Amino acid sequence: MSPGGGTRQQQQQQHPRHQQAVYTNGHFDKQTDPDSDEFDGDPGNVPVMTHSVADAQAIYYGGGQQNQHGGRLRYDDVVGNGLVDEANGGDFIQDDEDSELEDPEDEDLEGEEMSAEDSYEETDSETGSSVISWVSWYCSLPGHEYFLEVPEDFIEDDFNLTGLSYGIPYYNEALDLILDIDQEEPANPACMSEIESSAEILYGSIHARYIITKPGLHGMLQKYLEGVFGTCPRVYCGALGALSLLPMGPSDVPGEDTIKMVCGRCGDLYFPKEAKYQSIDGAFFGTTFPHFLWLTYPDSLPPIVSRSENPIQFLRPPKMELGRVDDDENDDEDFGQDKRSSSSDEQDSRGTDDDSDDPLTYRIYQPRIFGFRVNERSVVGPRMAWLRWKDVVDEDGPRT
Amino acid sequence: MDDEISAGSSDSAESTAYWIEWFQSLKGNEFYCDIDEDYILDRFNLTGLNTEIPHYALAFDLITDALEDDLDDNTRVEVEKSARQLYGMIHARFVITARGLAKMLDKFRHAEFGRCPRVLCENQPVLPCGLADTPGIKCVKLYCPRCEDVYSPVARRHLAIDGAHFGTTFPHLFLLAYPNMIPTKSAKRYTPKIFGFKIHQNAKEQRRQDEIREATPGAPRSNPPTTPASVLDSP
Ligand SMILES: [Zn+2]
Ligand SMILES: [Zn+2]
Repeated sequence: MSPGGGTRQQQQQQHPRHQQAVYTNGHFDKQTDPDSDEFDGDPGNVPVMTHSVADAQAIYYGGGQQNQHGGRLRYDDVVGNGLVDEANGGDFIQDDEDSELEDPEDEDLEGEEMSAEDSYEETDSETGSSVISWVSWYCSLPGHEYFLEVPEDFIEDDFNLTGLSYGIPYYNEALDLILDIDQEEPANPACMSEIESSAEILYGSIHARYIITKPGLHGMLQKYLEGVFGTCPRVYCGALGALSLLPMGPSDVPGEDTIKMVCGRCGDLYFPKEAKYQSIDGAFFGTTFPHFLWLTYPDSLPPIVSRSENPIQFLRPPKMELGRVDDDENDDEDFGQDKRSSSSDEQDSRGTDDDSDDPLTYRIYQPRIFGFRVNERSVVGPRMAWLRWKDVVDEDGPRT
Repeated sequence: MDDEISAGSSDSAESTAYWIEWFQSLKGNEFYCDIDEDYILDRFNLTGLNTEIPHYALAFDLITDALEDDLDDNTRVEVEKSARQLYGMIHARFVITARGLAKMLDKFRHAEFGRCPRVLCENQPVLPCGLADTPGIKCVKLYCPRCEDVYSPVARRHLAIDGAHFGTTFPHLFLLAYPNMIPTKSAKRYTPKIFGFKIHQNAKEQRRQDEIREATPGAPRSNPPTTPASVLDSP
């Protein structure tokens, strides 16, 4: 297996060490319209994207292996088939079935990771070859659940590694380590730890390229739908365990920033919940990956359902919510009699009036003091509602 | 009701708050502040709670360590549950008093409620917040005074805390009482990019956000544009 030429090309250009060249080649200079550096989804408009979008659409429409609906993955599938833990993100969780929300303070796996690396080395030197491949071992380490196993033939294809040898010490040794190729002369033990850290950076860089290929995106989609990446910490995104988080890196250059989680609903960046993920290099996932996945599989994001409103109008008092027009009534119900408990059997059928737990409705938090909306001219008044404003889709949602 | 309460309070007036200490020490209960005993013993502060909470009188006795130990196990479990509910509902009232706000300020300064998970909030300490004032509806959420949004607690043990025990008013009254605790807000936001290019739909959305921001009194103003080095640029 090897990806199409177009995919390779864009990877090459995407790589940070090539970006400089792209910029100096006048790619940006030619563009006089300030808006033209936006990718508008039209494959013809941005040369860099040409093949990859075509590829992406080929997977999306023609793949046929994604699910029972012939490749079209709808949000209802995701929620309906039990992939989404509905208790997770809801309220009053009773049982401890899910370790993902465990207290990060209790976990510090960095030390464990180090010893695991040592133990791999031991098996390697004792038996001459490890039982599992380096890649499988690396991806099975605690805290490496976000990594996809990059297939050997992808790594073996020199084209996919273009530009990576620069700046990685012991590149060849590191590559051999990743591919489980025995060295003819065993490396100097003093260099071994450097080779290992090089192997980690090399694998991470290859990983960042692999996950934006067809099979890579598909592999990550599976992880996403399994709930590996969890739910958005924002209350109005993560309700009912709606899946909208993907890992990314604020920089494509290794060593610059750690991994962050991006939410496809509110579009913001969050720290990973668990401490074991917080030290992973963000460049191993990259800036492009999450948005490319959502572009490729648009139905993997819960649709944002609400009534479109003029943002300026809705900001004027007293309206602040992005919910439906009769939001006032809904909000007051929160404070009045317990409507939800009386109709709790309806909660899951999206017929209830309470929007806040409906994963499809996009809402903005409204501060209140003694039940009254805080005036926007107060010192504590809302100043940041703009940040959560969204061009909500006016769909034929579950309720109209 | 009056008889019950006065009986309870007169018995427990001198007793130390053992139950409260025990409740405070439970794992997950570190969000609660310890309510002053004289606040609990002032009947005025408990107005209306007797109708909301089953076994109200017994629960009150338990909180104030005045409970006679002659209950059968079933009742004891129920009373224990009611006592937590009662303490929580008194707590929601106490934290919006001057004393309660001061106690919560101390916790906030030590970031005992945790920090905002949003990357651009730079570890801003958060405040506990309810989304409903009626008990039993929603668990406690965390209000970030920098991005003005609400988040779910990370630790599982906090997902069992009733949001009504803090209430919808608390974080905003807190900031009104301590305006110097309001952090500087920023116009910075994350701009998603694909291969270095902005995404059309998103860029359109961000321009609308800017319009709203400019129209919001007191909202942060954008900084002069910098070179597009990072995805975390100012608009
Ligand atoms: Zn979100
Ligand atoms: Zn925040």
